[in-house]
Amino acid sequence: MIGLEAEYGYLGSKGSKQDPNAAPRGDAGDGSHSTKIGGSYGYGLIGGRLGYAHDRSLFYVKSGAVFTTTKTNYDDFNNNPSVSGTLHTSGKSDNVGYAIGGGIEQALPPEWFESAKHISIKAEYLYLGIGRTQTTSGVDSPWGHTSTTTDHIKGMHTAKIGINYQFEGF
Amino acid sequence: MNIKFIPLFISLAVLSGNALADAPEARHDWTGFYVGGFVGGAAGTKTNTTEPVASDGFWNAPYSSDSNYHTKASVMGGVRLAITGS
Repeated sequence: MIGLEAEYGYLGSKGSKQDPNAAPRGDAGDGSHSTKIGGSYGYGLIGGRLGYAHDRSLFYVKSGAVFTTTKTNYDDFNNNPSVSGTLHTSGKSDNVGYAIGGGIEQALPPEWFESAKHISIKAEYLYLGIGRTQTTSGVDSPWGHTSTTTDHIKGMHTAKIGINYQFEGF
Repeated sequence: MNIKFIPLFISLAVLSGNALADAPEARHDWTGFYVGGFVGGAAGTKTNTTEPVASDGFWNAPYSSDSNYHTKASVMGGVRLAITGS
């Protein structure tokens, strides 16, 4: 069995951290960094799958391209007494990575109800390889253009269950 | 009914019964167009943010340093379209 598929969905992985240079290490308060992957933009995936069907059970591997959007914010207070000030930068990047994984899909027994033979349920694992994507934010400040970069160091493991309806004759 | 036909009817019945028993069940046909939905979850990832850099050097010099942190796990949900052949 071979196939093509596309999916679009919600994914909102957020994280933040206080600026490591925050007071009392410095002298001018603190700041924070934050990253949000997906969010209101969600994510998209286009891929193919290759599988082995054993009657109503289908075992498959799947691979494709995944599209996400990442937003970052960086708020900081300068700790250098000679250059006091505040800095706020935000950035957004559209990221493309790869997806690879597999799953099992099970068609319902046709005797359950009239249209059961067209319905299947599935469980799927995918690794989203967005580990090499990067978001840069910057702002013009009294000290020139000041910028910061956020890298995704690792990809994301995902697991999901789903239900599908089959239209025959295509 | 002519009694001599009874063995013939029995034989046909047995043969037809065997034929039904031996007939393979209809295999599920996976080919077609699919519309579906899903829910799930995604583990977080690790990120690294560099210290802001100004044209004259590190913004927070001499305290500048990168920071690493993890994004949290997230729920997922969406729709799926697929076409399958064999």
